[in-house]
Amino acid sequence: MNTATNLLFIKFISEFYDTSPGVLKVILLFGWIFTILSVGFIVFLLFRRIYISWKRKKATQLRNEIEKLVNSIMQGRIKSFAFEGETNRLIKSYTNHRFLKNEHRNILINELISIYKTLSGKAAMNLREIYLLHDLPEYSLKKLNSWRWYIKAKGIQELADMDYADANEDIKRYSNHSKDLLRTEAQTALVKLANFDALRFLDDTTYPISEWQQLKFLHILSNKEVSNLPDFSKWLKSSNDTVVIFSLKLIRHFQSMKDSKNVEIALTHRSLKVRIQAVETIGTLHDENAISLIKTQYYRDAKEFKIQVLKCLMGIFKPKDFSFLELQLLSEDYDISLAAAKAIVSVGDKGREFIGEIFTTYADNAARDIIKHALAETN
Amino acid sequence: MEIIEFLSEFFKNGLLIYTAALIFAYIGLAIFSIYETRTYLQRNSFVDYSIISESPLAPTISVIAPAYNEGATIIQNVHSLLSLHYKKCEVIIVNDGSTDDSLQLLRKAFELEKIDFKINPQLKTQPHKAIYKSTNPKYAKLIVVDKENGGKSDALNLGINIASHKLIACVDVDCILEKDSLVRMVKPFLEETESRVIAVGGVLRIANSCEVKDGEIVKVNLPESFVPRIQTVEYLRAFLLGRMAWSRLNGLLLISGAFGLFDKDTVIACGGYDITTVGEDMELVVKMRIYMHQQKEKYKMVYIPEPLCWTEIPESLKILGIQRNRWTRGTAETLTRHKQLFLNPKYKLLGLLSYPYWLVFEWAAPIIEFVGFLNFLILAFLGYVYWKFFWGLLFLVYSFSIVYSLYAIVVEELTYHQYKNKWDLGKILVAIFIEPIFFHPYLVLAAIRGNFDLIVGKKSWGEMKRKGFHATRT
Repeated sequence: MNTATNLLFIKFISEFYDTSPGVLKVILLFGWIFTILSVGFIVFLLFRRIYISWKRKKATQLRNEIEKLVNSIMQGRIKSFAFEGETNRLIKSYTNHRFLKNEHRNILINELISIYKTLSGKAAMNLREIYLLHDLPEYSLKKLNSWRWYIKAKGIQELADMDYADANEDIKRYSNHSKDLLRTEAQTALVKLANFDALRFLDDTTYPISEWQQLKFLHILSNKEVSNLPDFSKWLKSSNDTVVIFSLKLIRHFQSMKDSKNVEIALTHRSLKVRIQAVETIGTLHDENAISLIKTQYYRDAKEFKIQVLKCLMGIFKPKDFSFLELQLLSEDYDISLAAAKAIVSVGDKGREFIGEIFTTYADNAARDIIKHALAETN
Repeated sequence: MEIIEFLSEFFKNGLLIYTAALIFAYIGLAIFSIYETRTYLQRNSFVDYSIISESPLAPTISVIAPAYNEGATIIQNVHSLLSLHYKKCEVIIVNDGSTDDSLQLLRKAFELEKIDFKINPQLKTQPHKAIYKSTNPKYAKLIVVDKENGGKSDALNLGINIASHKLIACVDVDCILEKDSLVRMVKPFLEETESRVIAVGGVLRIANSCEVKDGEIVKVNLPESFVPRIQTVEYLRAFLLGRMAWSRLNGLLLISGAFGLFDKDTVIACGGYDITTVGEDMELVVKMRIYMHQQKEKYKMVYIPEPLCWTEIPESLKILGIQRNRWTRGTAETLTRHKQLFLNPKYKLLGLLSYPYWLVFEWAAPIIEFVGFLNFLILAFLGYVYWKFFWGLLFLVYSFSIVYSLYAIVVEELTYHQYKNKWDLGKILVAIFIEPIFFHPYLVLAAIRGNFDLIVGKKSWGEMKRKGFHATRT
């Protein structure tokens, strides 16, 4: 459009607007706001694409160099990580980069962490040395001062991933933070850095421990060498149900036989979830002494508890329990009936023999089908 | 003449109020969606998901996939489901009375043999013919059920009866799931401590023109054909803005039937999938919400913004029309069945916001648009159109439609940035500008047709021809 047409267009728009009633003026105004926003979005998208493509190129370059460096470590070409030579040049070039220093440093730290996780022994120590010698823990610690919780959490995670135990005290400050994710990240980091000692917060925490958090704790603890198990009994008495549940899971995982009696007490806990976990733990601990107690509780409890009993005690039931199990097999509830049939079958040859006997005595097709199903699944 | 003038004014003002309310609602959704997506990204930016897939504490999942005449792709699809990164899961394929060779192919490929299996008849379904398991331990997770044809809902219900795990993932067998999709979907169930999570939905992305290898998306491409490309914009708007916002408000009324993870006990308690509606996915979600309200239990339904499920969408306008016709009927059926929810404070947000929104802005929108257009034609013929107002309103609606779509693209670019090709942005922009002029009116007509079909009692799904992933670029 030439200037004259432009002017004509502006004149038309302006006249259209001036001669419009109030409501229409508002409509037009909003229309223009949306149009300007649209233009803004398009410009933003175009510039962002250019920026992202430049950033990605730089990141790929950095990743490739780190990869080369790690390969050198693995192949033993680089033995020392003092501030000299190729390593120093590479790291410095990125930690001191004039533009996007933080961005590059983050890529560097992320790469180091992801490789560190896959290494062990000398190679892992060497890589950790790079992290320490180039003051990268300082950058991770700096993140703890950010006003954004997720940056703090990221910093905590970096320190823990690189096994930087010196940061314990800094991290501890957040272990009772009101922001759930920051709190859990700090607790997870402490468990990673300080083992079971870090779980002391369970003594008095009022916050629920989510299943996700429990899963993370257990994952970390599973990969550690545990010499002394903590005293689970105080956690089993906690008024926080999630603490009790987690303790039961820990007892199960670490096969802490000495806690069998305390676990039995949890069978009568007010929370169904706790009772179910207790049954599962008894099953894993093979605590045969608890069977009579469980049977008493069985008749009083919910269906979920019953199913759990039949499933989890499969390895413990003995021929003397057949009459109890047969009674359950004849239950009208499909789940209970099937679980009972499977429990009988699980008692080895005697179980199969017993189920074969009762199969022929049943006229009830449903029970016979259940038995066939249980036998088919355990074949 | 006075009556015509009155009607003209009435329609003019009514349309203006409706447009203003719609824009206001969409802006609200846009704000909530960005908040929810940002929170999600922050919360999950440093999560090691591999912990879940390997953990003995992870919940167990039954993946249920109904299949009807999927012989051409069934083997590849089942392999894809079996390779999901989740240790504690089983995969249940329900052959819904296929008339092709699906079952024979499955039996041969996965070394299946009939087993004795007593099904728990919790949900009423068509009878099953046989249940198969593999003799090869490699496929120990797989269960194949052969049943009489009863439709997708019926097949899903039978799958639920067979499922032995606490969580059920209902998927369309022809969708392509990301390998870590289950791990990501299960996380909200693990994180929540205050209320019970009963369902999680994942964002659907468009698989047309994407490169697929061994049941996995290896390269994401923007659809080459125009019809799916415009739908791509539509899907981004619906999932990244709409669903995420409703997830933030805990007011979701729909979790796509293509991929959703549900709490099995709740699904069974509210009767499973309804076989009498064509909108079984929405019907199930609404029933689950009503059930939880009746139980007076705190609950949550969550959507996660990650692209976890890739689906093939209609390439032709004809098939698209059939699909949207069905969606309209499904929505209308569910809204009619649960009309007691409308502005009912007993159901809190569900009754006061979610239901009215769906009624007024999802179901009624095409009807209002259509009636408005007819009214415009009549008034134009009679010479009663206030043209300045007409152009002003058109300008407002068009500019808002553009800015809203662009906003969805901005969110996509800032989050998962799937369309990286340098020409993709240009192609998307063209689609955004054209969509309101050519594509949207067609969808309005399809929705009107859907409402008409509902009134005359049409119940069928309609034929949904798919091009298939084999035909896409490799």
